[in-house]
Amino acid sequence: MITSREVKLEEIEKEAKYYYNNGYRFVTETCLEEESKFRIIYTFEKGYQLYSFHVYISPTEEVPSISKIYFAALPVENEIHEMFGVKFKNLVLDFQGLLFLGEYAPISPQASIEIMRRSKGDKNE
Amino acid sequence: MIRMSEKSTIPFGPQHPVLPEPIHLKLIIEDEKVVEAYPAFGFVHRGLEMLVKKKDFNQMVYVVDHICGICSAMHGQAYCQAVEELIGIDVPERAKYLRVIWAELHRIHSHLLWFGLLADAFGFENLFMLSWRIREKIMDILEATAGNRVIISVNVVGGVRRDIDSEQARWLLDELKEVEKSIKELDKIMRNNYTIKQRTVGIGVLTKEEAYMLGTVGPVLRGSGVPIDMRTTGYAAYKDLDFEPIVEKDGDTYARTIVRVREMFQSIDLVRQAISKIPEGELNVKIKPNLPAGEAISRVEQPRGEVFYYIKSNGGKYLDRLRIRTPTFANLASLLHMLPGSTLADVPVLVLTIDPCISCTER
Repeated sequence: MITSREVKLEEIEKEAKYYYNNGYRFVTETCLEEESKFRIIYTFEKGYQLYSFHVYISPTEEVPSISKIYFAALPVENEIHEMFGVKFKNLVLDFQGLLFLGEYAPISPQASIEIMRRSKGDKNE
Repeated sequence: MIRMSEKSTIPFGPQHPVLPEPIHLKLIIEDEKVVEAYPAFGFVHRGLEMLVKKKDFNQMVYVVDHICGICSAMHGQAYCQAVEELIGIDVPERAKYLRVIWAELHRIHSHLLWFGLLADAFGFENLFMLSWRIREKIMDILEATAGNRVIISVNVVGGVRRDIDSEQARWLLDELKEVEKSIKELDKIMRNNYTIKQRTVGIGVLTKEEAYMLGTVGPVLRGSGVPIDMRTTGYAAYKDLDFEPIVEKDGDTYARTIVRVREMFQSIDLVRQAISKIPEGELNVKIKPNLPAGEAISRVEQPRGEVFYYIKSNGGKYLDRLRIRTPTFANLASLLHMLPGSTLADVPVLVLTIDPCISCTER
């Protein structure tokens, strides 16, 4: 059984800071597509116990990155951006959608909603 | 005349003599010192998580077994444990013990493979050959007990699909005696050899606090003095076995090497304990063809550290979502933290110190 509480988009950084300041380790972020929204679950750990919160976002909303607080979130958020097209604000290092996928790979392949639009002439077209 | 240092960019990989799998690092160096490092992946990306929409939850066991050739049994185990939790079934005790035996054999052969690669990275070819020669014995045991040397595919949802009978168990224990003797030789070399110490002591230091907050897992974390090992949570039959996490305090490449070598002895001990305590009984339980709706998480200690499986089902034969956070993925942050400030000559050792598995990372 997984317990996770919902937070608002603008509360993500505050929540992550709370976990960081209280000695919780970052485990991962998991993105799910649910109906026409994305749910991102943030998971932390302390003493083998997992603690989670999640946020629902619409496909066009930008999510504040927690990679400045937890450096380990950097590859995870880049992967979510690449696979689902979710945009993260203030990533410590932004791979621009090229962490795993090649230049000519399909865009946001794990999402049924394509939210990264390509203009004519782009490499990814 | 004092020469001003200049920055240069050096590509490391994706094809490199020390890399068994492709990873690219763009290294910004100043003279011989690395000042910045940017990784690039994607050379073997397969998108296996997406297959949950096309393969039913039983077929997916076979898919996750193929994520990685070195810890395949533990991928299968972690996935099966997640599905079993979702369904709400308890697997037979004998199956739990068999899962421990195969998982620990995998840990030994993974650590031996890594040890050989590290030796190769700093030019100690004899040690590389010695390590891989010992590993062959474990591969033989896997072949004899599971039918395959690499991807053994023993796990099914509800238990395991193969057994180890008493005669085979006796033979396995005899073989392990030989393996233990050889690993002792390896341990002696590692603790006394000048070359190994020169190339590993004080290299890639991670403090206890850094390792903890960077989300590091496995021997990299325990080599920095943090006693976190998922097996102590008691999944499978670990709750009935006597062991403590192996911890070293120095946080450098040498400490991580010692952790892995000590873990091989620990794994041998765990296999012996499991064989001595394994109960008679069924290998698996029957499961219904459809999954209930819900979510589940499973965490298993692989050779490189904790693997995290998240699954979500909306009911039916197919999962809606499978998310796998592999140990190498978790250790990327610590690698990127260790590289700046190191010398160019130490980069191969630093890349190997986290025991990177790119197949796992790219799934």
